Amino acid sequence: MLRYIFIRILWLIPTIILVSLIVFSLMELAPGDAVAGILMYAEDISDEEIAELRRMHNLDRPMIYRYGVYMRNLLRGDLGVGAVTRTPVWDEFIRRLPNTLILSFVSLIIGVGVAIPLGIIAARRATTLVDNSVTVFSMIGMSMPLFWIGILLMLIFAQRLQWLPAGNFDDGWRSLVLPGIVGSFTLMANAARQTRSNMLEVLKSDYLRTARAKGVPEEIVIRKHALNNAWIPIITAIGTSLSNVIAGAVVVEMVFTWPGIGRMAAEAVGSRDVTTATGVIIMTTIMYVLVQLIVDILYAFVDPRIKAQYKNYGRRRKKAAVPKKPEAVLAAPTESIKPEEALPPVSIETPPEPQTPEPVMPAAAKPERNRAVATGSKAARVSFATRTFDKDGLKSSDAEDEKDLSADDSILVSKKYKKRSQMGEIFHHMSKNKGAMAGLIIFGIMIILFIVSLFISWDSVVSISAQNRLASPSLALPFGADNMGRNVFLRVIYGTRYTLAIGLGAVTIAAIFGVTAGCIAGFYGGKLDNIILRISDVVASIPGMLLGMVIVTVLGQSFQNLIIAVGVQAVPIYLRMTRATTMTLRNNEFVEAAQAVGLSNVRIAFSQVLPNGLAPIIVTLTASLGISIIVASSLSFLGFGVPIPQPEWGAIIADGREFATRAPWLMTFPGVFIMLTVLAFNLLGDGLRDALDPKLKKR
Amino acid sequence: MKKNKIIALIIALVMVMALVAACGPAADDGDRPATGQDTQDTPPAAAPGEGGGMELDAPVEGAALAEHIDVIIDNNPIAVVNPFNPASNPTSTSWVFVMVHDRLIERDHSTGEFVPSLAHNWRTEDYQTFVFYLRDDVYFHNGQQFTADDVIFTVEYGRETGVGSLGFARWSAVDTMTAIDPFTLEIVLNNVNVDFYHDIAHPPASILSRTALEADSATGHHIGTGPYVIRELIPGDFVTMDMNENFWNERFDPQTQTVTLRFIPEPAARTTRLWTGDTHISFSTSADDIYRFQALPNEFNVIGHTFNTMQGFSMNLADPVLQCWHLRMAIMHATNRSDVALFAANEWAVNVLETDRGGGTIWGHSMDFRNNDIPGVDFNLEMAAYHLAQSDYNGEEIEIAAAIITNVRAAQAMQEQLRVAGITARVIEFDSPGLNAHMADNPTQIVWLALNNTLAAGSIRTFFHSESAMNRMRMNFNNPAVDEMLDRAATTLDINERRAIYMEVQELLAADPAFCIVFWRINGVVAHAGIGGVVLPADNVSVDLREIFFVTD
Repeated sequence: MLRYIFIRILWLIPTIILVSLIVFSLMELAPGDAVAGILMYAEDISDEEIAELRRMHNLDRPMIYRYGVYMRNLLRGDLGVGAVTRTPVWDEFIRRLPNTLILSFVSLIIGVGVAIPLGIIAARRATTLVDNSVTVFSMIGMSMPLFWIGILLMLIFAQRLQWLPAGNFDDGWRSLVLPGIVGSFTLMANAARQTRSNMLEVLKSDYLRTARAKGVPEEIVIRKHALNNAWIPIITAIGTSLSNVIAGAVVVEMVFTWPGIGRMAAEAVGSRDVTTATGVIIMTTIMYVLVQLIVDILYAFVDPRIKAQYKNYGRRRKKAAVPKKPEAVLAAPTESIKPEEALPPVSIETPPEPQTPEPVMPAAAKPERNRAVATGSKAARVSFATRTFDKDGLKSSDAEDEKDLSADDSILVSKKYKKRSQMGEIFHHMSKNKGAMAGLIIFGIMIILFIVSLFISWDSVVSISAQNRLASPSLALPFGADNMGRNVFLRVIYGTRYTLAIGLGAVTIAAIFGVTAGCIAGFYGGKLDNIILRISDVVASIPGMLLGMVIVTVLGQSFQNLIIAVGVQAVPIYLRMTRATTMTLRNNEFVEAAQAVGLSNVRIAFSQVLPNGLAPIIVTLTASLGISIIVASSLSFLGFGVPIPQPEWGAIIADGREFATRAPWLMTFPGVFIMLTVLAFNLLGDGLRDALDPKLKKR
Repeated sequence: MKKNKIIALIIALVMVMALVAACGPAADDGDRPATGQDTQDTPPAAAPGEGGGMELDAPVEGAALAEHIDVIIDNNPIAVVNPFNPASNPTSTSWVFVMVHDRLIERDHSTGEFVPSLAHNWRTEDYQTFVFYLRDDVYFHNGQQFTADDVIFTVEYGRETGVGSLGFARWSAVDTMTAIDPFTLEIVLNNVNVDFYHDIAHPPASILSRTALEADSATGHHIGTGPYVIRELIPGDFVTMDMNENFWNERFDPQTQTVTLRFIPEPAARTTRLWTGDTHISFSTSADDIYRFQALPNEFNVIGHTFNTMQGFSMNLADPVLQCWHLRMAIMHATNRSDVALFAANEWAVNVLETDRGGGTIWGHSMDFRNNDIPGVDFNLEMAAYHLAQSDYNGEEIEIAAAIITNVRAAQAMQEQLRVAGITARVIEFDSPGLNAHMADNPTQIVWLALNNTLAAGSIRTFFHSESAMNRMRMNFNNPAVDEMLDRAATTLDINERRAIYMEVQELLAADPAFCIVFWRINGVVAHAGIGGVVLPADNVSVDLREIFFVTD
């Protein structure tokens, strides 16, 4: 166990070096520098003075020199001096850190304190109104952008009702309530859902039935037996969400003017203070990794099996034999997968962890196929074909059994079996899931809106009108008009393009790079796997929102760059997912067979292994669509998204928040659309996961 | 699962209703108007050229005063309180200088005259050599007595550490300084400079303590001689100051024990704090919300503070397309300044052409020697078409660059107006450092920005003298006649002669426009009734909160 902790901490060192290199390089590449920021307010300044300023900040030296100076100081434990304030970054960081930690802790208390009891209650009262309410609350909670809900709560509870202060830090515990609730939202929704899901599984267990049969009170059954076995995914959800809160609380801190490290980093990025930005991101990364480590240690206390695996951590492993069938519903790591890899960390602020579906059976195991039999005057025939597998895996045999039933005899069982393809099977299961169907309907509406948007001219979306300025909703302007007199309805509809494009574009980028790298890492293993995994860890460790801000700052504000910024953050998710699946499949016999045939490893990896492991990737893709949309809208809200006047929903909200009182429609409609779109993708993702999970398939 | 859908719809409906309810009238609003009803479309603007103040200059005898006042500053966070750190350049930091530090002299904004401060008297014959007679009863917050040596140290410290700062710029004309005795100081400038008094009266020209800075280089610049002492500074968030019980200046009578200046980025949060009384006065209330406060005149005072900053767009004369005078005239005629001001500043702006102060000059409304007789280029599409026809314009797309939301909106509005006039434009949005870098590397054709001037006419050098880096980054205005006149004006002692020079400079600048002032921004200052003692000069940098008070009963 100690060895495990020691090795994990050791890995921090290369992580820090890589993080510093990435962030420093990106910040240096961004247009403008600290001197450029200073010059905005300068007056009669000469060229010589500008040159002197640049010399003072080492801007007359090459970037590699500045990075060398930075690393030299870093090795001495010196994070440098802020270019703007000229005060030590460490001092400022330490001053702000407690504020962020307090906020994170309060968010955790609120989130866990609400989520776990809710999840337990929902599981115990499954399929009742209570359960449905919790489910819906969780889904909606995961679908709402934090900045939107934050401003909403502020307007209601601080401004209108005056029950609570509007943030800041000078009103004691009351100041913590609103930002704490907002910060806990995603954690609360995710943990409630996770608790409910795991408790449902556990409540069906035989050992609980035995305990009840023995007369153990229900409270003890739940608390002592059920909950203990449901902890691991809950801890994962909590830990991931908490590290996201710590690492990326930019949005909450900006909305509530919370003097934390998230704001510190955002302001440093905006003013091109490379030293401060790099220092804060490094420190935040360290905290992020340490929280993940604590989560993994908690696993060991909860599950002795995992503790046993930690003992072998870092030792040379034997080459894995034929992979065992994945047996655990929980995301407990198998021997070949490290605990922290069981559920990839998400370096994105708001969204929930995409559920890691357990690896399904290789696709070679096709489901039973049944053929419909034509009925007619002749006796009904029921025939079915089965494919069976022996230990070689690939062999299949068709065995048809036909039964002739006489028409006179009542057919005891007369069913018409339709032959379904794999996609048909998936859709069949999804069609039984009303949540997934609701998601599909909403998605369908979004597609229709997208098509409608193709007929909306750009001019009608951007043309301004002083006469219509801040007009309230009417027949002519269903969603009202914004500050420039632009038709909000048309802008929201037109913005569907951006939203869908950003979501699809971002996950495409993430999937292409993540799946490719993950497949290579999982298939080849060894040093290549280690290198790829470490790079992935580094990217995943950088707070998602901050990484997105830096990328947009470097590349410039544009629609395409926003897609890149959002997509890059999600690469580690796909990488880990694909790697885990590939590692499971690579030792299958069909791989050996392909090798024997003479196919190259690359071809085997991408044409044989990968197609058999697509199911979890597809689920992740669907789930992360919603995450990408929220991240993109959050970046737009912070001013790092699509430039005005392009009608991206987050940008419309950002532009309209100044008029939240007089023209609330500017925030309401785009916010609702974001929520519904993300909800649709979350519902679809859940439905897809259930449809692809063999354990949940029922006939 | 049908229940789920129903529940989801209900929850969504409740949330929407809650949002609408939040924005509707509160239960106890009484006279407060319902949402969306504007009680006043136009702000109570102070006339351009004038500053303003709260209704109360001093509290009534015996009135109960608040011990602590919370102030929301404008949209420039206070990162550091050091006149020689460029991070202190934003205007709001100067408000802290005024409260914590003192200068050798000050400017009385009601009369425009220079009045004694740390120096009780001064003289000069040639505006190159000055002698200041210093007070001998002034002490810094650390108890050390103020002497001439502190002034010398301040200037030397600024030269070593303050490149790029406003403090550095204020003292840049100084050649040598000599302490004739501890309370007599001789300053010799590099050249004759008739604006030297303006420079040293400006808040960034605050005097620092040698002993404090030598003892603590990190925070020694917080030590001043002013009526307030910095207790706590959280960069980017707030600064809290306590009254200096040993304040020396009989001209001022501080009333409040503790004052906090606070930066809040979120508009809703600012309004909320003001509404609930957590904040007593706000200099950056959302224009959208000001009407709510206007509707309650018994509870809130709303003042429109028009300051000297010129908001408009520069045209790069080095660009081959914009070198064409007719095209520039076409652009100016095609710009509807009222609409641009409306979109950019949400009604809180003054179209320069709608004042009686002549809209044609590129001069701040309160700057010395302003030429009010130059007619402005009015919004006239026929004239725009005429000039466009005379120009070399071939339909090229013109770039308009902007940073910060106000300028970006103005740029968008202008883009649309130019399109109507037949000129194609594209708006490029940057953040502030990005815009500066863009201008330095590849000067953009048109840039939307704000020109911040002091009230001294000579400050126009920053933007129009060919040797100025700021000019080259924005306008590339290069007129040797203007350069010569600006150099001459700075050394001309005769006021009438100086006036004539500046008048002619303004005519030359208007004849070959490189900058078009579109509006003056009005800052909506909202304060709880009972707030007084606030001076709002036309020079926004010198907002004076030294005597701020809040009558609680």
